[in-house]
Amino acid sequence: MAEGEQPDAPAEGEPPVQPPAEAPASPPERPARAEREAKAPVKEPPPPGSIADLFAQALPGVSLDAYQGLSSVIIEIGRDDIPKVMPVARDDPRLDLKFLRCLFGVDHQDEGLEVVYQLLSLDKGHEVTLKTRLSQDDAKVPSVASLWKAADWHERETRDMFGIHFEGHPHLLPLLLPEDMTDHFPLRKDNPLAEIAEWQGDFLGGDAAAAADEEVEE
Amino acid sequence: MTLLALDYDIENPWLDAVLGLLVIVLLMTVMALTLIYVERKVAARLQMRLGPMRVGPHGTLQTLADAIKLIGKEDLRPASADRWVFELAPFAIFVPAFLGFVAIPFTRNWAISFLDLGLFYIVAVSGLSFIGFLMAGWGSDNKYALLGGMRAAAQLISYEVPLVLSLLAVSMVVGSLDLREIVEYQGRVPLFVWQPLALFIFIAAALSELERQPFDIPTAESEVVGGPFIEYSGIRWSMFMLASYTNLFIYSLLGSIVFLGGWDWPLGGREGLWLQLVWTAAKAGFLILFFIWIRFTLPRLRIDQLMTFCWKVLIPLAFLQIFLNGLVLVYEWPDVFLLLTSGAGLALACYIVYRSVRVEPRGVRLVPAGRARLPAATATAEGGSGA
Amino acid sequence: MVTERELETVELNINMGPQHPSTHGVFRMVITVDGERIVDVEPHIGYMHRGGEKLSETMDFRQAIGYQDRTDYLAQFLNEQAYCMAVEKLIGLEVPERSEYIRLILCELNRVTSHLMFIGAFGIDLGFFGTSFTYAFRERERIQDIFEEVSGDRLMYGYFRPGGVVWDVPDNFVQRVREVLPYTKQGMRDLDLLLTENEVLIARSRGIGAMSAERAINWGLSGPMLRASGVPWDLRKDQPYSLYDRFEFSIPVGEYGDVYDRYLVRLAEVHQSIAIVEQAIDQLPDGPIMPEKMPRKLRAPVAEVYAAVEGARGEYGIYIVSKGGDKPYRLKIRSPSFCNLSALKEMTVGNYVADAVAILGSVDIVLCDVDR
Repeated sequence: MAEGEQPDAPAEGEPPVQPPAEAPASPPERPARAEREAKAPVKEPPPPGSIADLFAQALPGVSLDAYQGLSSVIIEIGRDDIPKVMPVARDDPRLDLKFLRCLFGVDHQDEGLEVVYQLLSLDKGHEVTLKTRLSQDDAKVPSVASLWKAADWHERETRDMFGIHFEGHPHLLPLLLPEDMTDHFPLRKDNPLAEIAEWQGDFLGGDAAAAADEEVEE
Repeated sequence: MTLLALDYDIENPWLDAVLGLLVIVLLMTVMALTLIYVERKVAARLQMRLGPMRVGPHGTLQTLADAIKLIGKEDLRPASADRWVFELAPFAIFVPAFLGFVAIPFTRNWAISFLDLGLFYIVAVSGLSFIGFLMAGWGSDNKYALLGGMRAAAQLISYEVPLVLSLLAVSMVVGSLDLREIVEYQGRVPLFVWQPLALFIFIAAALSELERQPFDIPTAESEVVGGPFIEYSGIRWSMFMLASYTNLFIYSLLGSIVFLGGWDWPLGGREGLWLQLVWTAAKAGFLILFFIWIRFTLPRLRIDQLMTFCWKVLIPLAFLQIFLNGLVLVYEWPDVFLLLTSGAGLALACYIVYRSVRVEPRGVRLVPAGRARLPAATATAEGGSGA
Repeated sequence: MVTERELETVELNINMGPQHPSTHGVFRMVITVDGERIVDVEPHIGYMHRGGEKLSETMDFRQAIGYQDRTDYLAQFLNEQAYCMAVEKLIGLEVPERSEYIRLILCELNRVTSHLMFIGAFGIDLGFFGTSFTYAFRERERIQDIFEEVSGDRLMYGYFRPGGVVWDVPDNFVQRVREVLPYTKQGMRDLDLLLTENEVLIARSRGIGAMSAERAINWGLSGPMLRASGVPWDLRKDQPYSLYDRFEFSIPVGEYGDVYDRYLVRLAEVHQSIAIVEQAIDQLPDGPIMPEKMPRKLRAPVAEVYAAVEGARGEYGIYIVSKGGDKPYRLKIRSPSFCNLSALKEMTVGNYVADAVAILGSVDIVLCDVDR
């Protein structure tokens, strides 16, 4: 990411948004950009009576790190707790999270890989985002394809893109990538996109005309 | 042979045959080309478009241009295809159409040859074409073609039966298989008045013999891949097309002769040659337009629904028609009874079709608002498939 | 010479390959048939995978909207809406009311065009040979003309931006929409007469590919497929976004979840969308189309957000993971066609080959949406 670009012309109107604030606060003094971005996000606890409490009631012994995200409550669980947590999430009558909205991975580089599950209950109307962290070398997660059939293709795609192996999945074959591409994981951050060269103006040759602004993926 | 109302006997049967062949070939080719154009234009109008407009005035030369293009194409043959079977298949489909033309009278005095067993001959000969489909399917060495060919053969053979039975019902009433006598019998009242059920069965069976919607599952195998004709290109493929349109013409002529009164009704056959031609053309044209109309209004039936329709609906109804005709003939009831019995049979046919698809009315309910509630009883699948 | 016995015992593998007139795009299905019945279906996707999620990580928030048009290319405004909602929630932008109304009207009209495309293609799959297609497309073209007048483009609109829309609608927008709607209603009547009570269509689609409500929820189906199975879940009603709670409309819900029900549900949804547009076009207010204090560069905080709309095919959602800066760190597209297509094998096994095409048509997939 190019940190060296000039700061914008009047950006006073830009409201500083504190994550995960519900309403924009009055603008305080702006700290330097680097400081602002390096600040770790403040994890606001979820409001009382939310689904995090239901989870705590249904799964007393399991460690759940719950906080309020911008769109829903986010609960981080350990990888080994997944076989315990997921069946309860689906079948417990208080939770009733029968709809798996989405399942995907995120590559946090030094902080490891992360698998995100988005669950929804059509009857009760509540939703939750479950997350679990893995390290890059030990990218294995128990599969939930037997609980929600929707996870079948989502897990295959996550394996394609991140190399996360889902144990217990019936047929973890490449889905979006070619059948023989099993060792190349495109969405990981150490897999750079090809060099993007930005050309401005007349790009048909001549150094004077072409102002190349190269951006390389980290 | 009689031509242009001149009765002359050509001594040499070979010359006679050659002239007849020439007439058929010319007539068939011209008719097929015209029919292709007519179908494209009528289909376009049904679909709110214009159809061919550029080649020639209002697109009239379009078919000629297509024919020239097809003749110029490379004649491909898959290397692993069974050579003789593959190459002879188009002929096996095309020749029966030629043969059928021999016995059809266009007016009282015009025909290649007037056969006493005209109806029988035509039905026998048009039933030969299914061999061509099998040959095309097998000879192409292609799974799609094989499936399509098998289905085509099954469909054509199955629908021969109701076709023949409906024509049989008609000839029972008339008492003859000669096409000229059938037309003369309809001098006052055409046969579709007395035998509406037979007409319905004939039209359904003819649509199926022609492989047009709603019965075109073989040539729409896996939807539009072409069925048994998948490996053919150029002039060989165009022979299938021409055979299809020639058959359309033959069946329409047959239908108009047998059911609609041919050249005779309603002004009696005592009128001149040209009026008879006009009547023949008009009635055949009406049936052709009707076939085209149905083709672009109904989607296609699945193969098992097609077979069910034939064996469980059309054939019992055809037998019913024959039985009722027999009763009327034996007891010498007046002709009106034919109308009553046949009309009742037709009503029964319509009712069966109606009931089989309108088992219960279906609609969607409109939910004004709200959170999801699972339905109290899990909705189960209707019908056996996909449960 | 193959004998009948040999044909019975061999299971045939039919490949409905990537190029096929009725697979709605570049999609491959390997069907194993035993005689006439389908024993196994294996869908192969990924022919249209262009790495949209990876590409979006290199584009800043305003540029990344270009890719959203190219996923579900029959319902582009709905995709753009989802993306803009996600970015707006993340950054904290407030969309002016006029833009919200414009977006809503265009989204609902886009839903109408998408469903019209479905009806046309559905007829072709069942063997109509073009009649339903031309009827549907005549109405669709009228609405496409409005889209072209508004955005300048016939297919990849690129009209919404985080914060509002890129430029204001033309002056005669309201009048044009009011002109077109009666034609659309008449066109729907024509299509209804042609298709809905058609005996052959009913015979071909009733009881085929049915999904019960429980299985539909378990498979993650959404949109008309879920509603046809009897579950009245619609994001516009159950998790309202934009201005949908200001309008009166219903959601059509089917009963059996078979192919015919899905067709009926989509047919009814068109009428509901037309009703919404009629109400909205009367209420279109004047005003700005972008917020006043719009930053020149959109910088996001360290946060994660998910926004979903009720797309024409189902729930279209965008999940953005942001680590500060002006580019999304991870952009995940939850595409409805992907989730709906995953249930294809379950719906198809046990039916005939001709039904496989009908079922695939009723799922109403767009391959670029499946593969992103």
